[in-house]
Order: sequence, then structure tokens, then C-alpha cells
Amino acid sequence: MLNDITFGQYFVANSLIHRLDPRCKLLYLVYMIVLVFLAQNVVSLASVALLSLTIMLLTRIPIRLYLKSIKVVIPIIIFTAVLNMFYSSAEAAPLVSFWIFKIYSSGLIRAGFMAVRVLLLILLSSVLTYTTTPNDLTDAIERVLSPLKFIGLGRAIHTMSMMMTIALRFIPTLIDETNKIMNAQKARGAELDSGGIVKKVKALLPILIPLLISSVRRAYELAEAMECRCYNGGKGRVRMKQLHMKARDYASFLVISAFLGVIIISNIYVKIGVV
Amino acid sequence: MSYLTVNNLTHTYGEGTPSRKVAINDISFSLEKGDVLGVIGHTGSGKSTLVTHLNGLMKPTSGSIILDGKDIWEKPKEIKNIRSKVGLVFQYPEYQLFEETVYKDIAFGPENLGLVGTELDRSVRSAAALMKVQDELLDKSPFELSGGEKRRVAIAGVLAMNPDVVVFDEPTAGLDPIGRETIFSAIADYRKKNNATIIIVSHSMEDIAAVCNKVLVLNGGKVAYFGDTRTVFSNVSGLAEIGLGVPMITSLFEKIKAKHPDLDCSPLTVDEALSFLLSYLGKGGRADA
Repeated sequence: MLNDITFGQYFVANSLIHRLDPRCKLLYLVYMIVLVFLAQNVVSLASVALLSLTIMLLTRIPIRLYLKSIKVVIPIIIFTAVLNMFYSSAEAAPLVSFWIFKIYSSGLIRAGFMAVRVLLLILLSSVLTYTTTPNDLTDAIERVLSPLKFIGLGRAIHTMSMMMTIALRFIPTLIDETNKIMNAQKARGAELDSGGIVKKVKALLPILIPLLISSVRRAYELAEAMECRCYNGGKGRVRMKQLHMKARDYASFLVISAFLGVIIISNIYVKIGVV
Repeated sequence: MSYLTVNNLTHTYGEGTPSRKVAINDISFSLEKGDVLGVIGHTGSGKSTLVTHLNGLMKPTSGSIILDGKDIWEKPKEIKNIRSKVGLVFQYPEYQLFEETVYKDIAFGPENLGLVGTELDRSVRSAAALMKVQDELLDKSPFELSGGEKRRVAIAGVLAMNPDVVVFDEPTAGLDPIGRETIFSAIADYRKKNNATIIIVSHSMEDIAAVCNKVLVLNGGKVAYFGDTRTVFSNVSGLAEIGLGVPMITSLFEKIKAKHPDLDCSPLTVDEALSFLLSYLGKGGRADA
């Protein structure tokens, strides 16, 4: 059950996307999200979807893993789609109507668009986390946010990114630990998956308490180890690995921007499935 | 008919994925009641995978485990009953303590088996006594105890379920010599009292030689050697080849024997070596020899 968590996981592969500058990847994700929401008609949405699909294929990570990341959010997608279905003005006769609910064809289109958009959001975020090591990612976040130091938030940014690095680093460790504790309690006859809701919640205590205690212990140990290596916050800290923008980073910017052009033009001229 | 038989046990992790890995491969051995088996092997040789199969926490990819004449996976729904017959003490078991008091924590296992009232109380107290957990500790929080005490409480929590087979994964890791001694003698007491079968995973050849009558050596997921302790530890060069040693005193005697071929003995413990040397030198029982 715990092995199904793929969101936020990094997968080793040697691809163009893996080699892109993490700062760029982070900003391009934001850029792509803007595109996804700018796409107002079938043609523009299809072109963004095509671009996203191409990016996914370029990562050389099996599509199966992307599907796994979607599996968890299917309820959210359905929820958003259904909600959007009812959000449309009455410009024609409703397709279906019952009680206070009326479904119009524009509502269906809107629902479809929303579903595709959320889907693309998840897939694109997965591309970022699948192809970027947690360390690179937090590094990128720190760099991208670094202008905030001019308003006195430099230390806060560093602390936050360090916390994120540590949190991401310990996800697999905690999953491991949880499995171990679950096994140990099962060996003592604990039943984890039967009985009513109260019984199930109670059955979690023998797992959560040791997990909490070992997390606190780990945190103390880590803090001590960091202090032993003279960690004192971000001040004056330099990096061993400097990031450098390469030709591929600029080129990928141009590619995405070209799609921005396609979207703007098609939004003006194409009127099929307009939201 | 042996009490516990493992037949051609194989387990493959991640079957059908690129990260497919055979953790244990075609493992077979059998134990009688009262046997003490030592399992040795390198990190990653499949020791932990093997022991988690013994009480049904993991299901074999192929092969079977026969306990008291019955395949433990015969009725998958009743696998929980197996966990009361085969106790498993994991590495660093003190990390699984969670209750408010030591007493409640030891009672967790037997309670899950449905014990109540005086029966429950008796099993908790006898397990605590066996593990040298003093009565005044029973009302304390397990988190106030010292490392060695926590370990003994955690082991008591498994022994309180009164299992016929107890598997210990590195029971003395990180303990001082006195702590180790206490735990090994408690294990021996439990075995004697219940005629239980004991399986101990350890990295210490000295400990294995001192407490086990049978040894299973794993290498790369396969059985390298299985047999009684003396026979297995006589394969000095074979064990060295897979990067495992023999007890220090045994390897010392190997070296002495190279120079004195007439010395015919392979002691497994220091006591054994001492009594042999005394008789060899013909000084008979003098303590200062």
C-alpha cells in the first residue's frame, strides 16, 4: 500500500528533461500551467496537451509511472469536472434538467476542459518531480525565490528550503520505518485491516506512536549532526555545485514560447469548443 | 517428522518489474523442537527476508513452510494464528514500544490473542520475570527505561504470547556484554521452559557458537551450509571464501594446528579450548594453567 506513493519521487534516467537546469524546469512548469489555463479552445488545448505529452515521452520514464501518479487524484478530477458541469449560463435549452440542476452543452465542454487541465497539471508537476532530484528542486526553489531577500526574507527562504530538502529526503526513510513498525506490531498479533472505524483508528496507535517517537529522535540526531558540521543557517553558505544555464535551457524556453504564440493566435481565430 | 520444515523457499521482490530481485532462492532446512538455529550471512544475504517468512508476514513466491505438520499458508485467512505460534523479535525491537506503561506494552501481544484476566496477567508477569524486567518497572512508561531495559521489555512483549518458535533478528545489536549475556541466558531459559525452537540471526560467530546447536549460512540468498554447529564451523576455508569467519578461538586453533599437527581439536568456545588445552598439557584442572 505504501509502495504506491509515486508523487514527489525522483526516477533516474538520462534524458534531455533530466539535464535541464532545475531553476528553468521550475519556472517552465509555472509557464506551462499558465499555458494550460490560457488555452480557451479545442485547438489550443490540444496543442498544449501535445506539448505536455511530448515532454513526458522525452523524460524516458515509463508512462505507467505517470498513470500511477494520476490514479491518486482521479477523485479530485471527477469532482472538479462535475462541479464545472453545472457552472454555465443558460444560452440555449438545457440538455438535461432535474430539480434545480440543469446541464447545458457548454457546461459539458467546460467540464471536459477542466478535467483535461487538472490532468495536465498533475502530469506536468510529475514531470518536474520525476526528473529533478529533491536537492536540485529545493535548490531551484531557493534560487527562484532569492529576490525576496531584498525585502529581508533571505533567512526565511533558506530555512524553508532546508526544511523542504530534509522533509523530502526523509519520505522514503519514514515509509521504510512505517513498514518495519507495522510488521513488528503484526508479529505481535495486531490486526490492522479489520473491524469498524473505531477499531481501525485504534489499531493505528501502535504504529503512529513509535513512528512519531522515532521521527523526533531522528530530528534531534540530524540537528546534532548538522551542528557538528558547523551548520548555522544560510548565512555565508556557498554551493559546491553551481548551476549554469546552457543552450538547451534557452532552446526549451523558445519552444514553450512558440506554443504560447499558437495558443494566442488560435484563441483569436478558432471558435470550436470555446470556454 | 520435523517440527519446522522449510521447503525450497524462494522469494522474489518486484516480480515483473525492472528492479526484480531474488532475495532468497530455494532455501530448505528443518528443525526439531528445542533446536537453537543460528543464521549467519552478509548484509543482503536474505536473512531478514527469510525470518519474515517464518511467521507469515511475507508470502513465499514459491516453496512452503511446514509447522507442526501443517503448511502455514494452507488457510491464508488464518495466518494470524501462525503469528501466535511463531514469535518474531525484530532488530531494535525497542522502537516498537508504544503503550503508557511497560505492563500494558507487554500485554499488547497476548491481548491480541484474546487472553484476559488472570491468564493475561500471568503471561505478562512470567514473560517479564523471564526477561529480568523487575516488578517496579512494570508501571513505568517504557520511554523512561534504559536502552537495555527497553530491549528486554520489547522481547518480553513477544515471549508473553508464548510462541513455540521464536525468531530473533540480531537480538543483542548495540548492547554491552552484560546486556548480551542477560538476553542470551533469558532466551535459553525460555527454550528450556517451553521446549521451544529458537532461531537467532547474528553477526557474532562467538554468540552463535556459544548458544546454537545448528547453523544455517546464507550467501547471496542461497543456503551455503546447514548442519550442526561444529560441522558448519569446520568449513573454515569455505566460510572465509564467502567472507564470513569462524569464532576467533576456532581460527586461533587452526593456526596453532598448522604448527602442531598433533593437536587435534577445533574448539568453538573459549571454555572448550581451555578444558582441551588442560588435558593436552596434562596439567589436569589447574585454574592458573
